[in-house]
Amino acid sequence: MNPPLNLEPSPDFRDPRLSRGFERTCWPLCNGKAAPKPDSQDLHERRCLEFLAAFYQLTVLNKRLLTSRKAGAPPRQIKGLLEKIAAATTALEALEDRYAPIGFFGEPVMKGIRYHNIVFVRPALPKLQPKASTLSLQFAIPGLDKIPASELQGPVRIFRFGHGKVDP
Amino acid sequence: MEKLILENFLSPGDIVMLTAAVRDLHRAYPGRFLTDVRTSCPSLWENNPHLTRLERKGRGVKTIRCHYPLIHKCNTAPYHFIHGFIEFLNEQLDLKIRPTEFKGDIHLSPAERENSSPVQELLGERRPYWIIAAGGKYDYTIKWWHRRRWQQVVDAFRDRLLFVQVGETGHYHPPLKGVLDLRGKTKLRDLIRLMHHADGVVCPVTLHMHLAAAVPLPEGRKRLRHCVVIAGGREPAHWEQYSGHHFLHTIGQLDCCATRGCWKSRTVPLGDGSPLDKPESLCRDVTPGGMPRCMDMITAERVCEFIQDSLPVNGSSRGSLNTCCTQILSQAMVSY
Repeated sequence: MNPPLNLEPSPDFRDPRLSRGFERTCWPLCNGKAAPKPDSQDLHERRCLEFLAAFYQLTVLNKRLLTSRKAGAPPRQIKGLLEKIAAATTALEALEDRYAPIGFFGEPVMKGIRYHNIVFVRPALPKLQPKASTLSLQFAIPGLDKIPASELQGPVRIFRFGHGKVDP
Repeated sequence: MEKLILENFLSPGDIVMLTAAVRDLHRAYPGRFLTDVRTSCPSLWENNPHLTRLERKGRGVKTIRCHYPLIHKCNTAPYHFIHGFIEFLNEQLDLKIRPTEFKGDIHLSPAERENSSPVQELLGERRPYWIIAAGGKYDYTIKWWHRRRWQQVVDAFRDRLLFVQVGETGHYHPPLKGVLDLRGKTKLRDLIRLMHHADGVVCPVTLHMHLAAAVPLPEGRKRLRHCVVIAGGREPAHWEQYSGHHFLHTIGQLDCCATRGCWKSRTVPLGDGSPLDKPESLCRDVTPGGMPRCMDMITAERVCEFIQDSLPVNGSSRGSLNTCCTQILSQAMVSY
């Protein structure tokens, strides 16, 4: 048996935006918006930052690879960059694995070789539930969408629903 | 005539099982009962010939909140889920209902039978397809398989088999590449129509598995609808598996499911205040890759083999598909 998984971001995590040499153009959007602040205390946002940093690293390396190839860099240098890209990819997959039990991961939207925007599949932390109930309070009402829009205005009318049919 | 309203507000898969009980009640006692239902999924009852409109306060109407306590014996007693509501009604009403078919009882309207598939409507051509449900509810995370494995399965059949991804909005259904993505776009009735025309289904233990058996086949089709279920060690196979389905389980292969299904709920606690976060509901053996070990043991290659075996054999394509599967999977496995 394995010990319980740690679903907190790693204490070793350092936001690349705070590092010297940070390349702003390589930093991705988070769900189409600006990323959370580096000092965010929100657990969900800190998890997002981990993924953004991993994709950022890949973009930086991809950019360097492209530049090196264009400049006709020696094969040894290219090989070194490819190895770094492979390591960054492995690190990203390990990150995905860590959060797999809660279904949290970032799906990238590319722009050329750049990871432009990271869309997170689990949009937020799970909400606290009220005390467990054996009854569902929400259920489908078939036929609701068949009510003409014109009927949704004006005086109140009562519709009865049953077995997927609408009884006016 | 005795008048019954049967109630149940559990998940859609449970309601599919209730449809079977209503069918078999009427077959065992024709003309004795008038039945109506109150459930969380009215769509599953559309066109059902066994229902009569009854009012709760109507004269002589008895309302029964239906359960399936048989589930508490499912690890040891030789019963399928389909027996669950039937045995309950037998006890409540002193009856002797027996299952008459090994499937739920979903009915299509003439229009639903005649209309082309939603896939044909979208693509403009008739194409065979499989439904893929690569996830599930957020509160039962133990049923999830790793999203990269689902992708490996899709990739292995690239250009050979169309997968249609479905899943309810608000549930965990990670997007897959190379599929027809209908996540969040199928109401329950749309899903039934989609299922009607589907050649097969690949999914965890979920509604889609029950529908794969319960939804009628298109007219003229002789082969059953295939279903490959990625189950792990949570539920005993005999409780869930339908005839002809491939139920990939690990009962007997791990300490935590050595002789029975574990019936745990979550891989790790989610912190949402649910009782499913309690230690007794959590997986006891999670891999470093974040999966319950029983689910981890089911490889994408194995799932592909079962799908492959379910495809029609037509000479050369079988061999080349196997080669294709092997190549793509070997590449994928390197990084996994």
